[in-house]
Amino acid sequence: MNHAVTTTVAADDNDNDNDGQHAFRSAARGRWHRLRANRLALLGLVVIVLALAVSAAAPWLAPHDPNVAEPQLRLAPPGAPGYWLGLDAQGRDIFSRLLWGGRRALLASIPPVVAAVLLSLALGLLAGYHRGRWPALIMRVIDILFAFPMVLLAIGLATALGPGIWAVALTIVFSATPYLTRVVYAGVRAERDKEYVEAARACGATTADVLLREILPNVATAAVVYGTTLAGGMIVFQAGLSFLGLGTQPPDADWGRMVAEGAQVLVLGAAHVATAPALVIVALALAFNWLGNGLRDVLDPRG
Amino acid sequence: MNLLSIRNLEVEFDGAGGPQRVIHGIGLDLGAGEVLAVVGESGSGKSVTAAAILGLLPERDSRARGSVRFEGRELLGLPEAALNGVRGTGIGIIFQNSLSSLDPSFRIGEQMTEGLRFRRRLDAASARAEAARWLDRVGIRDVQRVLRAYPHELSGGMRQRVMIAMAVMGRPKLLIADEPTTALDPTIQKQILDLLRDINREEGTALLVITHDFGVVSYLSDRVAVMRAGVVVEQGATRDVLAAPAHPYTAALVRAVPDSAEIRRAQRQLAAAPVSAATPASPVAPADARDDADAVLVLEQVSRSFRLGGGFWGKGTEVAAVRPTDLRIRRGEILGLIGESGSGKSTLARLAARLVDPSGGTIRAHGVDVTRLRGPALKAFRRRVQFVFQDSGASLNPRRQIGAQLADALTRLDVAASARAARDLAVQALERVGLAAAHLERYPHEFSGGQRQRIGIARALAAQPEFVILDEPTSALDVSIQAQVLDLLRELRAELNLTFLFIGHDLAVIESLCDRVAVMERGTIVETFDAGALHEHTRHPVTRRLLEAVLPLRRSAGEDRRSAAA
Repeated sequence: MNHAVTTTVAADDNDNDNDGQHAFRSAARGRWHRLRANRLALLGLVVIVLALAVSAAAPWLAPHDPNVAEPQLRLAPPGAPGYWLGLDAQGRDIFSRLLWGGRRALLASIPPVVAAVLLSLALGLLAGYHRGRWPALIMRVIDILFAFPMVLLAIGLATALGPGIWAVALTIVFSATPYLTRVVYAGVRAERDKEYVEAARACGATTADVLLREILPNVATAAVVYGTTLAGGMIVFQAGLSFLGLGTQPPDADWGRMVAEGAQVLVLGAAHVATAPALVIVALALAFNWLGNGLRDVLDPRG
Repeated sequence: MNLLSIRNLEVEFDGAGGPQRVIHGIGLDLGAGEVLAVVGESGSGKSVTAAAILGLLPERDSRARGSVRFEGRELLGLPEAALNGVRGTGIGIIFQNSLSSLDPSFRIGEQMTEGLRFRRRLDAASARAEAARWLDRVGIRDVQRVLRAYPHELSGGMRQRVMIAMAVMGRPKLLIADEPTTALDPTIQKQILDLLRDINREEGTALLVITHDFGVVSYLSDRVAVMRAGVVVEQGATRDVLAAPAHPYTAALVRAVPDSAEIRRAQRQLAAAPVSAATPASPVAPADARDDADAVLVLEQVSRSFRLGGGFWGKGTEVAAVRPTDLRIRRGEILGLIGESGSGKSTLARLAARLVDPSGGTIRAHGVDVTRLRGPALKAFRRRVQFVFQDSGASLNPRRQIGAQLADALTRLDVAASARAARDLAVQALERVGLAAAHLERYPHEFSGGQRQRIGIARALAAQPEFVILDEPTSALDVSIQAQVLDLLRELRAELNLTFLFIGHDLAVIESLCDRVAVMERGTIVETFDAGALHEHTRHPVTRRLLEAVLPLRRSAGEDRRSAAA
């Protein structure tokens, strides 16, 4: 055993001795660069931000009252003066209804998905970390939710609470949570037995320390990425529930309702009424999928 | 003509900043029936070289230039179909990780016969008979069971034998073995190396062995090539290179291998002694009845069993990892704990650190039974007893900066009252192990393996414990880094008057570092003795078995190869 080794062989052991703070900032910058390099993810982000901003600013951006009809202009096609997306069967401005409808559609789908992410993190951490019967019970309830027809649940909730945004939002929480909880649960099970958890316990970490400070940072990324991807599907689902009449009630606008109303006049040759909201729904669903896929590549500090 | 002749081989990979050359024009020659070892530390390019020979480099982002001739035929640039003819029948390969190189969803028999039926057009029955013959040839006794088994049902040593059987079945002239024994126990390693040597001698198969272990080099090879950073710095006859290294890097590496003339002498004696003389060693001394004043930790009749299987309804089956065992760790000593894998070393260490709760028995520190401690009392115990893990990569949280991880350890143990104080102590601990405050904001993946292990030691030391348990802290490290970590441990003991429990499987390391040694087998300690008495004839058969598995270096040209092999 010789001390000379320390200097001769291990020179490469000290090769990254520049400032640590610098390394950290450049890591964050690197992530932003990678997101920008992923064109589709960036496009998705732009579409989502635009949709959120425009919907939030509907009262100021909408050229017309979404619920006031101009009967003499019923079903006027896109390009009518002052009504560039045309008018619907009752003579209401489709563009203004899209903006106002976006508020309800996004409000009824995005916050519930966020809530589902948080709920699934809590359930997944508890069920995944502990052993025994209660965790198993949580996961069996999740299994039952998987098997339960969500439209039936929505009808039940709409009956109990009255149709509207609350019934839809709750349905979406119940729809998204099982998927997300499975993802978090699997992640926690994988992390639970790793040595860094044991090392934290050797240094006096309590269960709460281990769950929140050690394991959570390692599973949160997966939940956020999957939640983002899932949000696209949930926007479509929300529109579907509104289409069925379980969500927003007439005369208020909502993308799903607008498609439903447009479908009734499709036979009259007025395709534009249903097409505009349908395209918006598809675009947002795609945008969330692209962003979710991009985030998966970006959020790993090792990559 | 040489069997394999490599000239000016260069390999480039496409990296983030353009192409990066990892092999810089190396040349190697291997004659028929010869054994060549390519040795180097991680990142030296030895595995890339093997992949380049077989055309196994990823096509999309790597390029190989130069010349690789096998039996006079140029392999570089050969189309895939022609290469497939060379692989298997001309050149066989054994990979390090036998679990990932065997297909998990097919039985061993199916995987072995597939090649025979495809290449040699044998019918099912004769292919199976041929496979069985080769399994028998590589020393598998239970041939029919193994043929029916899936890879995960076999032990690591058995899988490696299957891999060797598959590689030599096509009767290749050259067998490339990429770290063939790195994942194996020392005793299994010895068996596999013996098997490779038999195949080399009896079938005349040339061997190209890639390894980081000079013990393997010394045991197996006729010639050795030492690689560093994509360059062959030295090559020649193994006995000459080990006895008188010409290149300073080789010299430093050879010196970094812990070794003892004692072990070699003892092995010669073991070989000479008749087997009947192997009396089972003196029974385990009863737990010392003296008071605990001179001991940091006293384990009495400690046991632990785990429940396997069992879900919502079932109870599962009990498996004893540690059977009732006694152990006293004296203040100020370094106690080595050795045993084959699965003997319960790690579980015993975790019991001593209260990372695992015992199923029975008592653990006393300062006269107090710590097995029932909770809350603040347990914290006080954890401050005194710290743990260093084997896998420094896995024992640091990959998502958190190491400064936060060190500071958390200190605040959780109530060593530091404020975040500021915790940070200062963390810096002190880092500096003591040779790192700097600038490293606080980095993530674990930004460090090398040796640096990470030093961070693990820094975390254990930051709380200023009196007793540190180290679970194979150097097993995953290159020899030169291992030498640094061992030196650091000696320094720390001298400076801080620490007590260590050091778990290891490298007897030379144990002998050079430890004061006393405890040997475990099947969940209990079978004997404890002073490190100097490791070679006495009265040692327990388990200890003798571990001792026989050591692969010492033939450092001086005068040493007879047969004695090393005995």
